[in-house]
Amino acid sequence: MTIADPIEQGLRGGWSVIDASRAERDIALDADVVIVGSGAGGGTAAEILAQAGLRVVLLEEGPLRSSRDFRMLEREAYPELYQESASRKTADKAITILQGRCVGGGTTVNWTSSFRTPPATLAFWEREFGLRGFDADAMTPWFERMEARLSITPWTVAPNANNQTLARGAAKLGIVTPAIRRNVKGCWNLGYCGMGCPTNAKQSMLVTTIPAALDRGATLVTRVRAHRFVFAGDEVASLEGFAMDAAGTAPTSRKVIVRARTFVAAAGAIGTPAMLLRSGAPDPHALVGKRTFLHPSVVSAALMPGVVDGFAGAPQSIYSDHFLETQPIDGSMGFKLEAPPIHPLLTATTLPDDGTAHAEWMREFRHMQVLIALLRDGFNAASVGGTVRLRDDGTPVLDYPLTPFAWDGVRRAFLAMAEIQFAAGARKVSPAHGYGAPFTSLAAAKAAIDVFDLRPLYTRVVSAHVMGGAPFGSDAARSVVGVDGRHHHLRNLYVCDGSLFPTSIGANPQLSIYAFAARIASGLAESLV
Amino acid sequence: MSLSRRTFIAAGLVGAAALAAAGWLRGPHAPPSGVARRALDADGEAIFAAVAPVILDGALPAGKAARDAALAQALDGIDAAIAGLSPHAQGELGQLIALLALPPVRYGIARVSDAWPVASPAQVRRFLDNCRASRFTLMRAAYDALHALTFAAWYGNASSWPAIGYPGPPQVTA
Repeated sequence: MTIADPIEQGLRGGWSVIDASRAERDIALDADVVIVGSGAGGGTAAEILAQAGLRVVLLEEGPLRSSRDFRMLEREAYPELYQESASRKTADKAITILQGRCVGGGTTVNWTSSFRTPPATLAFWEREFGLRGFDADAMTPWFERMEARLSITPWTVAPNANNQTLARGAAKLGIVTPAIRRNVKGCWNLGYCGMGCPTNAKQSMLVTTIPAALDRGATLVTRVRAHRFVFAGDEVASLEGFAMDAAGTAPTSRKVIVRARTFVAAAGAIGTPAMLLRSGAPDPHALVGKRTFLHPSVVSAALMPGVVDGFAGAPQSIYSDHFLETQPIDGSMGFKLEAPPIHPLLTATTLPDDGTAHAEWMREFRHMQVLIALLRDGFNAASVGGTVRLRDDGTPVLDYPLTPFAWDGVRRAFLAMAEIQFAAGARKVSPAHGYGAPFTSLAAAKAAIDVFDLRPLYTRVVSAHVMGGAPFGSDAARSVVGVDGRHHHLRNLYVCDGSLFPTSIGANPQLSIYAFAARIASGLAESLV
Repeated sequence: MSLSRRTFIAAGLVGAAALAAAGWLRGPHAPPSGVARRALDADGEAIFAAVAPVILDGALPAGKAARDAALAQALDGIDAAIAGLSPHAQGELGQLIALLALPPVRYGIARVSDAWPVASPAQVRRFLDNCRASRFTLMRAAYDALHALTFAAWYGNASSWPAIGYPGPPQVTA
């Protein structure tokens, strides 16, 4: 059977796609709407705006790659498809941030986990940020619409052993572990979602909304780094970007200028605030780039008696919100428990220690079971997230200090993961901290974790979810854009990505971004046609 | 052995001047492998050539020829990995390498008395341990960078997979 490649077909059919890195001179384009970023926000907006009959230009810093390029090799996928080779760091380098940087953005490389925004999060936004009209009932039609569009359905295949271990251990402790819904159609259950889906089963932006927008005449410009918006009065007049070099790592001096009636920032929660900062967009309350959230995540590895083969099968199919619900949402930091895919490169770089101890763990690769705890940040006065700043070269860096409040959550998370892993029958458990010395009993793990010297660059902390930094709201003193996504001070500039969120989501954010982007883009389309 | 705060601050203060002078202050160092590199300079190659065998201890194959070949591949992988980083990250790594290559820093901070190409595994081990246990985040970040680049190069390479039982990606017949 041949795997149909919608990108290859579309390009043959005459899509308007420009690889800026190959341009020999500056590029100038005109559009009704230009969208910066082709991930969950930009991809969703592109389809809705193009279907409304608007001339759309979609800009993406990364390359256009498709199923035939996705060879399931970490050494190729990370530099090709991720921001900064999947090793983007916070300012003090204590947190590694996984973000997509390719057509489809994070949706091309995410693990397909699909959750509606938790009702408790939406209620908190209404209570604390005055966001009215966004409660679970009001958002339901938008979730339903995007679930239908992206084939988000219950995953009925048996979870892989890595996820089963989470379910088994949790069950022994009386902890509920529901199944995760996934945005897949005809999934082969391979386990390589993070390197680009080789069978086009994952219903990412790359194979759904972006082809639909291109079919409707949108233009996609790849390998262009949007630099700044140029203002004329209270409007954006044009966008200035730079073509990337052939390797895609550095911008060249070749410019890409787009004039448009309307501008949509969807460059992700680091890229969008950075773009606003570089442009000098009005920010009277100094809110841009502040309150940027990460779901800081910690990792616990275990060795199981049986083979786990965590590289095979749907990477995430089971989760637990038990520890999000053991305290009030604005109490001490709660965390979501999930299992990640276990591939050699990512595993080896995440495991602490080196030399023979590290080699010993890697020799047990097939028996390795891994849990991750995603901390819900932004709901307590002590959890203000990070700040996006610009370096001298104009590139963004997120300064995200890990506070005692967060470390308290980390300690409880390490303990919860060890408890579940031992309950599931683990021989050894090694929290990714310090030298990663493994424990052979829960009592030993508990005693050690209680006194772990938790600190940056000694405790491994990762993030795959960046949120906030350009929050929406009706109060211009507390938000950057209005509830319709429109900038409070620039009348033709919209934000349409995870930057909108005033806190973290408390769940993998793709479906939240799809739903809010669909709502904002639909309103925008209505106002423009 | 822990780093003294004073030596560290002294190194920080002289940092810029030292980096500028690094070009002529450096003692003679071993010739690079002769392999055309995309990102690693001679100093970087010398440091990674010293550090990689210690980080990969236990993972490297037995027998000198196989081991040397594997290490050469690891260095190629490290070079490729660095070349894929952002210009800013490459710049920071370059500064770290230039600093570690300076004899006063190599000796005063890293406590490696011999030039990197001839430093003993025990000296390198001590250097790595000092880095990761340091109370300075900069030193812990240095350990993290050496750890990540070396293991990424090693386990990104298919020749490391049989030893850990990873079968490689499945066949997708198109």
